Amino acid sequence: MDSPSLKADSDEYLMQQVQQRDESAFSLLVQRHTQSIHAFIYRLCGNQSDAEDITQETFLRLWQRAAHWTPDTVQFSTWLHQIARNLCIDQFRRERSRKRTLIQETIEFADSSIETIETAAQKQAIRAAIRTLPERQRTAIVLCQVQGWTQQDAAKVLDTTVDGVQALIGRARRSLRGILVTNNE
Amino acid sequence: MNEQNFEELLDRHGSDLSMWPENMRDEANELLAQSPTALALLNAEITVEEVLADTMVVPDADRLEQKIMARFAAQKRRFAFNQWRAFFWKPAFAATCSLAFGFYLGAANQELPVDLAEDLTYVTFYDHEEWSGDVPNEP
Repeated sequence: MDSPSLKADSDEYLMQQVQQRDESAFSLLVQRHTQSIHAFIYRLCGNQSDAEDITQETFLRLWQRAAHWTPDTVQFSTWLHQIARNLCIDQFRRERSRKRTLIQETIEFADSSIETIETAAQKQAIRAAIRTLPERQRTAIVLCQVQGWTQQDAAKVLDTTVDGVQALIGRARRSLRGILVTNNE
Repeated sequence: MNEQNFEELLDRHGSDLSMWPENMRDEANELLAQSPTALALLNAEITVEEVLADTMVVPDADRLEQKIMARFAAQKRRFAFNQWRAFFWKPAFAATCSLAFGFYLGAANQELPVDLAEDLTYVTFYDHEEWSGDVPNEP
């Protein structure tokens, strides 16, 4: 049954319609959230093709698991980001070997740039290093530093506390800075 | 404040010193004036923040909404087919089993015991006789 407190155009209302298998409500949610979910996934996985694929899968999961969502426990947007993050984690696991190669490339790149450090090279090293951060640190950085989420909301996606998010961001920043400071020494 | 405290605050609050707790700002500025290490840490943090802002620009996803809806439609068709299959497989399986059992029985009893074959022949003949007798004469 529809909750009278929900606005007719709110995500939560549309999601209740989706729970009743309303395809037009699903279509509206897709139009509304595709860009932000795609951006989030792209920033996590750093690959356009994977990002598109996982974005599509995220919305299919939304339809399949609509019954599991309850408005009282978590906001729709947070829930959708949790689905997207879980799918990214699955993807990371599948590509673990590829990731190891990437880490090796990053280390080699950082070493090679010790003598002639230029800003472009530093930025490239950081860019590569972002992709090698542990998944939780990367998610925290992307949500709070890039997408401008509050630490409270990020904590819900990461299933941790605000202090936990701060610690994750701190460690990520320190790792990324470490590349530049090491190169400058 | 030493470099370790400075780095911890940098982790927590970022490169913008105006966002740091007020009582720490002056000490941080003093340390920056004296310590090249602290200055290097601050510059590194500024670069990291620039990279995060600049290089995480997301490329356009061409017609992604349409692709999602197309995959959704395909999934629905597959789901409908699976439902249809789930609904029909039990009766179809039961019919196939019955048919196979019938064939088995038929094949197993092809050669009837002699007594039974004689009885059947007799019954058939008797029925035929009786039936023939009931046929009214043609005018």
